[in-house]
Amino acid sequence: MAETKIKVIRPRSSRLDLGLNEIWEYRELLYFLVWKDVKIRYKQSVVGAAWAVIQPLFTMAIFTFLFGGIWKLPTEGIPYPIYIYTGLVLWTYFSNSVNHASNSLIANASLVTKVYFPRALIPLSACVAGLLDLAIASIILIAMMFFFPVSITMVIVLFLVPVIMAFVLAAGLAFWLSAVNVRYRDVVFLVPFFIQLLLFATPILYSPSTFPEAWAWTLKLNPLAGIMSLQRGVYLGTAVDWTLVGYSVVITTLLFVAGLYYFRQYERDFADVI
Amino acid sequence: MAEPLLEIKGIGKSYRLVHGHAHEYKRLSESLVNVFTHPIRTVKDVRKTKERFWALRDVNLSIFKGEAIGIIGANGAGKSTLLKILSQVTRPTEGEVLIRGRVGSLLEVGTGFHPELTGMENIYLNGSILGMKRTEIDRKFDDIVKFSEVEKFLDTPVKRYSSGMYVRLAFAIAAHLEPEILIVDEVLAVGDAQFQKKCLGKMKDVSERGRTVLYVSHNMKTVEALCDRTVLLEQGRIAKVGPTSEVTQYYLGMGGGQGEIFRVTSPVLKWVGLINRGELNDNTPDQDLEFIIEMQAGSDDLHRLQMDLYLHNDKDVMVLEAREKYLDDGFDMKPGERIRIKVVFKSPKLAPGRYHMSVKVGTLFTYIWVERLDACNIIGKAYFGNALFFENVRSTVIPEYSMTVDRRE
Repeated sequence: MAETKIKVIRPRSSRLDLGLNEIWEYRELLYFLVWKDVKIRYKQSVVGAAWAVIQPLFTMAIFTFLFGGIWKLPTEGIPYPIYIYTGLVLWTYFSNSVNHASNSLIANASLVTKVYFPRALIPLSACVAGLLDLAIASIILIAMMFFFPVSITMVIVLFLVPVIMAFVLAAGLAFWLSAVNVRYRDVVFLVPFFIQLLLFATPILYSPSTFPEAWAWTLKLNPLAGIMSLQRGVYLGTAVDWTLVGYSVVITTLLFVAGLYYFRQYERDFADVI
Repeated sequence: MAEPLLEIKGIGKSYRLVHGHAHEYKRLSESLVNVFTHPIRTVKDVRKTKERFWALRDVNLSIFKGEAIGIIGANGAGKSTLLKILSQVTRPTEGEVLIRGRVGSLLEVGTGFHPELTGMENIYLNGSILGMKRTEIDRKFDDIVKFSEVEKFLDTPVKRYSSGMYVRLAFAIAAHLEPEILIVDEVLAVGDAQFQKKCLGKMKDVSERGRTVLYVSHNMKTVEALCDRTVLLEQGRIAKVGPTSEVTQYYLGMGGGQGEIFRVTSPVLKWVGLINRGELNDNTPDQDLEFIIEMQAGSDDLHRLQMDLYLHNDKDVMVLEAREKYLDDGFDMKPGERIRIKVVFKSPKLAPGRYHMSVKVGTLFTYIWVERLDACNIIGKAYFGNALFFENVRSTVIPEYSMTVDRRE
């Protein structure tokens, strides 16, 4: 008989361990949780997956009317609607994931108090499930690029890079927020407000060139700024601000690692507090 | 001797009591405001760890391959806490547990079931949540469906299932879990009698095939049928471990916990206990509810004693009341005499759940008063020909009722 692994349950784990191995071990459960999320979301809705497109399209229409039509913001020579839709697609994914994931532990309280599995799977599955909507919205984006027309370059094969960055950032924030939310329910009220602010603080609906010079330093601290710059560069061929991308990679990675670490520290108390 | 599969070493679990509640979530602003306005008090609060409630303390136990272990004890003795620690749902405050093998735990039936998903979809989702691999579910799929007896409704969302079907499907998935160590909380307390029997048979099967089973129950009959060795927990500590029949006999002899006497104002009368506690674990709603209470007189002659008995459900709502003064003028006791009083409630139709009682015996001025005595456990059963799932019953009683439609034009 093969030597079985010994598992030890202790009051507090002393090792600095992010538990990535365990998440990998439970990847099938992650798959089923994502699958459930996706199934449930569209089960009793009339237009179903069309919601994935409606949200960014309507936001685009409104802001095209306001900023493109009335204020005529400069957009690096790209038609305004497609310029902002490129950003909005990724933004919609990011904001929905963070919103959804920050409340995910509470929504799955019955799982948390009754079965064991790495709790990180719960916020993580909310971030993965959103990727399907993002894929659908991105297909519409490519269709629009033919319509407007915008020249498509070979750089587009890198389209996954900003997506991965947005995913890691959303997951990192989701770990923090969902864990804090178990103890302090204020998070549910705070998150939508914070996300609203972030939309205007990031060059998504306007180009970075219109950002006030005096506040330019905030873009370095805002990991989304680099991600959005990259996203537009990939699809629209606009100039990418590599300094911002560099800052973004560092901050995103830090947020993810620290978020997961914080989550791990408290995950075994969730069942007692939730 | 082989190494134990499960070694529990000095496990303890405590909760901090906040305003009388063991745990409670706070508003962020409250905590922040407290830190800034009362920095000293906040630090003190954090330091003050005296207000701790130990749900479990100093539990040591080694469990070997192939053993079926029963865990019994009154409500609040720490049984569920122990299972939650072993299933890693919550962490211990002290001590450690070594586990050599895969643990599967069933603290609830149908965890993670989603009403919108079909029976088939829920088999995969729930199986995966309970720790089964996808290939394992594929392989056992047909057995699960057969066991659950819901073949025809596999493509129907479970929200359209009758409660009986829902429970059967949930049990069927759980019953096909095959970890090295299976942890089962009192999940068999619902469902109709025939299906309960089927589940028990399946569990016995599992343990006979060399798996280790940990089973928590209030029902002594099922513990005796299933378990070789039994642990009795009392107020968070192990009171007794040994062969099942020995421990259950000891538990029944305890008369439902003398440790629960809340206040005794009379040295002339000694409380002995609720003698038949052991038979009160699986009463059904329409069965007569019978309590036998024993007490002993001191050195005095006692005259015109009266007994009042109040039964409360687990939400602390009083559901039954029996007061002697409505019946007679009371009874007398000679010095040293030991008596038993039998109180019978005719078919009280109580909703399934756990009940505790308060008893007062004596005269107006001298009496003993016993509070929160673990009294009885009422289980659901096939009612009106339907195997109703009683978890959703919110009323305190379930009388037999009928509804008729009277059409006018």
